[in-house]
Amino acid sequence: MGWGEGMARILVVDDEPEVRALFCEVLRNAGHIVAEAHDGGRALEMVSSAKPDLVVLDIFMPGRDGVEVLIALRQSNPEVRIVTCSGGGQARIFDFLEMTRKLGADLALLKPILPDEFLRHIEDCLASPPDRS
Amino acid sequence: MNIKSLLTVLRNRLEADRVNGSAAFTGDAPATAEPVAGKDADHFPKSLKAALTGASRHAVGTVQLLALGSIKAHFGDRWEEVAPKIHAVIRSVIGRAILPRDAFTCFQDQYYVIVFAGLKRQGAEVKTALIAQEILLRIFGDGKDAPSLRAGSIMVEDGKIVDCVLREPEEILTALAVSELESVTPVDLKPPEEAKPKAARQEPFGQDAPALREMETALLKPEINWIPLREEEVDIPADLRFIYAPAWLPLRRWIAAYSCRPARLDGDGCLLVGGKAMPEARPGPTNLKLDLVALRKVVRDLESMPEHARGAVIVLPMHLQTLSRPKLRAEFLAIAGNIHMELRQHLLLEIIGVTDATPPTTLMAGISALRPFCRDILVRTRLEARILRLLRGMQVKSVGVDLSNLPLQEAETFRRMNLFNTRARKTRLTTFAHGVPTRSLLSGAVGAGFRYLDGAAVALADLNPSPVRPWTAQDIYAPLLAQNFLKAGQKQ
Repeated sequence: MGWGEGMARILVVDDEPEVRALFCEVLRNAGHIVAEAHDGGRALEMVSSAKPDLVVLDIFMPGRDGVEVLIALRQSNPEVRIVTCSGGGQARIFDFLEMTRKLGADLALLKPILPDEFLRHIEDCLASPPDRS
Repeated sequence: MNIKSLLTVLRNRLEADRVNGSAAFTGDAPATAEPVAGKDADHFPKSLKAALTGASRHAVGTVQLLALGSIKAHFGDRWEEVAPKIHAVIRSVIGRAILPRDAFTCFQDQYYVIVFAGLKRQGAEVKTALIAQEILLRIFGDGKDAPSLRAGSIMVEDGKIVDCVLREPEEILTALAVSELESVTPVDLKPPEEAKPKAARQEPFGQDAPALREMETALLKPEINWIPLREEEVDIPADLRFIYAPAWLPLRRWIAAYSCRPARLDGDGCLLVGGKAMPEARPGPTNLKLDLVALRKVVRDLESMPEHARGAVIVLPMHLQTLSRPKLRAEFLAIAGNIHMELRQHLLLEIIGVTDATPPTTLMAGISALRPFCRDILVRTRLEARILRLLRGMQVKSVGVDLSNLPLQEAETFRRMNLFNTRARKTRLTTFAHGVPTRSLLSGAVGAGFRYLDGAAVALADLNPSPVRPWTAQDIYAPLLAQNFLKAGQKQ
């Protein structure tokens, strides 16, 4: 899973292959360079070697979950943009999304999300300066 | 023969019976049609006759029908070959569930008619639905391709059968569950002397309490498979203790429940909790005897519960087998009877060891026996369990699993947790998970929809225990955040 040529380098991390494939396709169609990882451990390896501009990070994953990866990334790669996302229709999901914002995620998205809306959020995030206050 | 023609035949026979004043209804029925009523074969026609002619109108739930059409069709040409075994199973299941004053018979090799003396319609339908489910379970196991075994009430007016509505057992139980859910009321605790058998069964089923009481009476008959427990078999490890594992309610953002779990330090000083605390090769009765030891501890702790802890709930797991052994059951219920009425609202009893193969009638009897002594009954089963709808029909509101010892990769556990919760939501059951071993499984369990969770990931973060206190998603990661804060400080 290497980088290609394009606008921004984006790593999509999600344990659900269908969701991962959908996000990757939307981002690739928009001209971004996309790589993917199916768990948190693999994501951390890829971030340290490939230095993406932005990471799309699912929260609920086996092994190292999204919050743990977020905490680690904020320590090791404070410059990388992180967009967390999760879903399932459970009210308590909001707790996790809100928490990831507090822990340094640039944006938290609730799944399911329409492809156009997802792309708009990602590009807005890439265009705006990081808030590390 | 279809239902309509059956009803016609039944009506004609009953008419003849009324005219002749004799016990018809055996007539030219097949070999399997000998009426059965406890030990009195003559009882059936009399019961049926009394049920059908004793009043001008019966909104009859007392006369129930089981239709074997789908089972016969399932076996096709092999029916003649398997029929004796099938009938033997059916007779066995019905015989265990009914009382001596009830009666049943097989008609035309395809229908079983059961007469319940003194039951109202809903109670009789529930009882018959449970019987139908147990029959299917015995014959076909928990396979998905099992045929249906429809059941229903025979409606009688002026001694004539006027209608018969057959439904799937699950449909009957679900309808009951929905009606109960709509009329749910707070638990009405009664004084101990009244509560023991009576109040329990009246609470969940209202007017159908007699059905449950009778079912339990039937199950308590000496000929049922109660396995005696010999005291000398019991050997509880001296170093075994009980701890209260804090349970997190993510939706309420609180820790407000504590699960009483066996615990032991191993040779390396590691704390083993739950099943892991039990030494291997320990005989089964040890676990059952532990139920009594744990209950005694909980009774003491409930009595000494400080005022500021009164918002907390204790969850006490206990084995289904404890309820199926007369001596243990009697001892367990006797100890539970000591719990002061006001304190019972702080206790949840969790039945463990329930599988898809557990006979529904056994489970129902167990749940009914425990209800008076606690706030509610939980059932622990497996992630792949398919009996959730049945449990809902038994007024169980929460089902759960133990994740501490699953021989699965986390990704597979995630998948099964999601499926389990999806099935539970469809049957309006809430869910819980014990022994969640890792942080990622804990967050995954929250995402899947479990309503309360305990395990290492909660216990490790609960460094400053307090009976009832706020606990949010961020607390899961508190140790990790603290660790990273230290690392960051060291770098500087």
